[in-house]
Amino acid sequence: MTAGGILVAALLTMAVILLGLTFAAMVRRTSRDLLASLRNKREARIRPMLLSVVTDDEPDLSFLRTFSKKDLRIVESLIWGLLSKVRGSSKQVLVKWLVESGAIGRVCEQTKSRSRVKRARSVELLGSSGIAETASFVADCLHDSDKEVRSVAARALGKFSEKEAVVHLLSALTGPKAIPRSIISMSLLHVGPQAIEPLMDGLLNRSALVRSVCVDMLGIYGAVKATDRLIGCLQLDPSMKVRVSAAGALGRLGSPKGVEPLVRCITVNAPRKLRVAAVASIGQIGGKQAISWLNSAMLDVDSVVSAAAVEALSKMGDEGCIILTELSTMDLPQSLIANQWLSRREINLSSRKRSSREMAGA
Amino acid sequence: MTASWIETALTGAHDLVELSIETFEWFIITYFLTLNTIYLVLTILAIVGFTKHIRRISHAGHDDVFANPLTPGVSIVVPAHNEEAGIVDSVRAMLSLKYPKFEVIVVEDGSKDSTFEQLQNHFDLAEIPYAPAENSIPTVGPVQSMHLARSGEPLIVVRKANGGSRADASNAGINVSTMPLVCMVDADSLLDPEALLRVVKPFMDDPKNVVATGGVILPGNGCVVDEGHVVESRIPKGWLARIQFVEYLRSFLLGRTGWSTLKSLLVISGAFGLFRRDIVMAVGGMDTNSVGEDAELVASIHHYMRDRKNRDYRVVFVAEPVCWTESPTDIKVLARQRKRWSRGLAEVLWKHRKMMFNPKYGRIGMFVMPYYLFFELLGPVVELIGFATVTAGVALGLLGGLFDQNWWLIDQKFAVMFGLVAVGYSVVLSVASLTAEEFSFHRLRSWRDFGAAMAAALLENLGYRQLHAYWRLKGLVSWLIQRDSKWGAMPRTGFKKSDKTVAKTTKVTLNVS
Repeated sequence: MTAGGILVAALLTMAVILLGLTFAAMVRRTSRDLLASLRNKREARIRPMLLSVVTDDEPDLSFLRTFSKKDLRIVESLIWGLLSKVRGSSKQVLVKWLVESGAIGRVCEQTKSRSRVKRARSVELLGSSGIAETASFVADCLHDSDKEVRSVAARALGKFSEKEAVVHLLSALTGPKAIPRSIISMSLLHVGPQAIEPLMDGLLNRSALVRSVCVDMLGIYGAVKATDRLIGCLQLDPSMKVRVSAAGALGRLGSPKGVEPLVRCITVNAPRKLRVAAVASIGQIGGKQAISWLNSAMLDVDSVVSAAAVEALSKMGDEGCIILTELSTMDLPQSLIANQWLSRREINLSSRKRSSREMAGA
Repeated sequence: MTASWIETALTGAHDLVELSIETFEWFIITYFLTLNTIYLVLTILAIVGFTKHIRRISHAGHDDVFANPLTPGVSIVVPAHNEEAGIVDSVRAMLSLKYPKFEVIVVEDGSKDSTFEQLQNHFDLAEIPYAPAENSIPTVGPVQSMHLARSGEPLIVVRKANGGSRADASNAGINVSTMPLVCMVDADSLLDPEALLRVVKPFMDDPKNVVATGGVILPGNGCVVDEGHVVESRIPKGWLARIQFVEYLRSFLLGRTGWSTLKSLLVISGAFGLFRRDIVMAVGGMDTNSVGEDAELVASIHHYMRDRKNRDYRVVFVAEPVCWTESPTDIKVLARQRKRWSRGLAEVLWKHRKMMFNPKYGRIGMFVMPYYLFFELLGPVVELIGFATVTAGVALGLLGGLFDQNWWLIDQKFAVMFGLVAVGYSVVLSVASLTAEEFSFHRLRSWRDFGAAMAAALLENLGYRQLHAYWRLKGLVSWLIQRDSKWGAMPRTGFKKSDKTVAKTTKVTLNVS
C-alpha cells in the first residue's frame, strides 16, 4: 500500500469515527432526555400514592397488583429508596412487598453477579434496606475480588446496626483484601452504641491497625467505661500509632482520670506526635491539674508542643486566658502565639454574643 | 537583471527547502506517528478509566465522607491579586462548600484595587497578631497583617506585600494553614458544592499512598451563577472562549485521566489541586522563581517521594469535581497566558532534569518527562518547522511557474492529505472528549451549546492551533534567552449572575448522572 493510500485509509477511518462519535452523542442526548421525561412522569404519578400509603396508620400495598410491569419497576426502585427513610409498620409493609415480589431474592442473587457494578449496587441496596436476613450476603461481599465492592459492602454492613457486624468489619481491616480504615470507621459508627463491647474486645487484637481503629472509635463513641482500657493502651501498647490514638481518644472521653496518665507518659524523649496529642487531650479534659501542666508545657523546648499547649489553654476559659495574658507580656517566641490565640478567642466570643443577640431579637 | 536576481535568490531558497525537506521528512513522519500513538493510548486508557469511574459514582460513598468525624480537615488557600470583581462571590461560594471541616485562607497579595476592602466590608474582618511557625516557608513579600472574620465563618485573610509571584502568596497561605490537607484554588474560580468531598476521597481510601489529587478545570465564562454556585453550565459566548472550553475538556477528561490511569500524572492545575500539607512543607512549598509553580510543585513531590521516601505513592486525578474558572477572552491576554505556561513547563523540566531518563524515577522519569520535553515543549518547534517547510514548498512551486521552472518539492496531494489527517486526528480527539462528557456528566444542557462545542472542535484547527504553537514557541524562546517572566494582568469581569438571584433564591444544582 502506498503512503497516499495509507493516508486515504486514515482519513476515511477518521471520518467514520467522527460521524460515529457525533451520532452516539446525539442519540445519547435525545434518548436520555426522553427516558428521563417518561420516568419522571411515571414517578410523579406513583410517588404520591406510595407516600400516602406509608404514612397511613395501617399501610396496605395491595393496590399495586393492578399496576403494569413498567410501573412496578418504578415502584420497586421507589420502595428501595424509601426503606432507609421509614420505620415500624410502614417499613414492614414495604419489606413484605419486596419479599413477595421476589425483589429481595433478585438483589441477593445479584451480590454474586459477574458484573462488579451490579454486585456493588445490590450490596448498597441491601444495606439501605437494613433487612437483617440479608446481612450475611453483604458480609460475604467484604471478601469480594473487587476493591470497590468490598468498600460498598463495608459501608452497607454498618447500616444493619448489628453488634455481630463489628467483628466482620474489624477483620476486613487487614489481609490482602483490606478495606480502607476510613470506610470501616464510618461503618462502625453506623452500628451504634452496641458496637462498644466488641470494640473493647478489639483492643486485644494482634493487629496494631485494628487496635488503633478500636481506640479511635471508642473515643468517638464517648465510651467512658473504656477509660481504663484506653489508659492501658496509652501506657503499654507496643505500637506508637495506637498510643497516639489512645491519647486522642482520652481527650474525647473527657474523663479527668486521663490527665495524669497523659502527663506521665509524656517525656521529653517521647515522639512529637504523641506529645502534641497528649497536650491537646489534656486541654480537652480540662481541670486544675490540666491547667497547671499546660502552664509548664507552653514553655516546652519543642515549638510545636508549646504552640499546642498555648492553643489548648486558649480554650480553657478565664483561667487559661490569665496564663496566656501573662505569657503575652514576656519576650518569648510563644508570646506572639499567645497573643494570636487571645485575639481569636475574643473574636469568637464576640461573634457568639452577636449571634445570640440576633437569635433573641428574631 | 532584476528578474534574474530574483530567480537566483529563489533557486537558492529552493535548494534550502529541498535540503530541509529531505532532512526532516522522516523525522516529522516518525514524530507525528509517535505523538498520535501516545494520544491514542492515552485516549483509550482515559475512556476505560473514565467509564469505570462513572459507573462507580453512584456508590462512591461521598455522603459518608461528609459525615465521617475522621475526615481530614482542608485549608483552602486562595492567592488574590487585584481580584475585586469576583473575590466576594468566590469566597462566599467556598465558605458554603459541602465539607465537614475546612478553613478558607485568602492571601491578599499587594493588590492595587479594593480586593481587601471588599472582603473587609462583606465579612467584617478583625485583625489578629501574625505568629509565623518556626518551620515556615520563607516568603519574598513579607506578611503585613492577618485577619479573622467576626461573623464566625472559617475565613482568614492574610495581607502581604507583593512578592512578584502567585507562588509566594500560596506559600504565605500554606504557612498559616492548620489542616492536614491544603487545597490551592484560584481567586476567580468557583468550585462545585461537593468538589472537596470528591477530591478528598482518594486520600481517605488510600491514606498511606495518596499525596496529591486534582480535579477538572473548565471555563465558566458563559455559566449562570447563583449565590456563588454555578447553577447552569453554558458554553461561553465568544469563539475564543468556546475553543478553550473544548481544549480544557480534552486536556482534562482525556489527557489527565489517561495519565492518572497510568499512574504518571505530572501536572495538577494550580486552579484546583489538593495536597498533603506535610509533603508540601517538606519540598519547601511552591517555587517563587517559576511561573509554572503548580506543575513544579507536583514535579518536586515526585522528586522528593522517590529520593527521600522511596515508597509507593500516588498522584490522582478525579474526573468529576469541577472548578469553573474565567478564561481569557482577549487574544493578547490568552497569548500571554500560553506563553507563560510554556515557559513554566521549560522551567520545571530544566529544574528537575535529573529525573529525565533516570530509571530511579520510574515512569515519571523514563516516559512522562521525556514526553513533555519532546512533544509538549518542543512540539511547537517541530510543528512550525513542518508548517513553514510545507508553506515554503508550496510557495516555491507556485513561484516556479512564473519562471517556467518546476520547483515543486511537495507532492501537493500528499501534503493536503497529510494536513487533513493531522487536523482530522485532533478533531477526533476533541469530539471524543465531548462525547465522553455527554455520556458522563452532560453539563451542556442545550442543543445550541452542544452544537457550538462541536463547531469549536472543528474551528480550533483553523488558525487557533497554529497561533497556539506560535505562543508556546515564544514561551520557550523567552525561557531560553532568560527574559524576565511576568504574570501580567488579566482583566476580570466575574461570572454572570442569575436573574433569579434578584427575584428569589433557587437551589438548582447540576445533575452529574
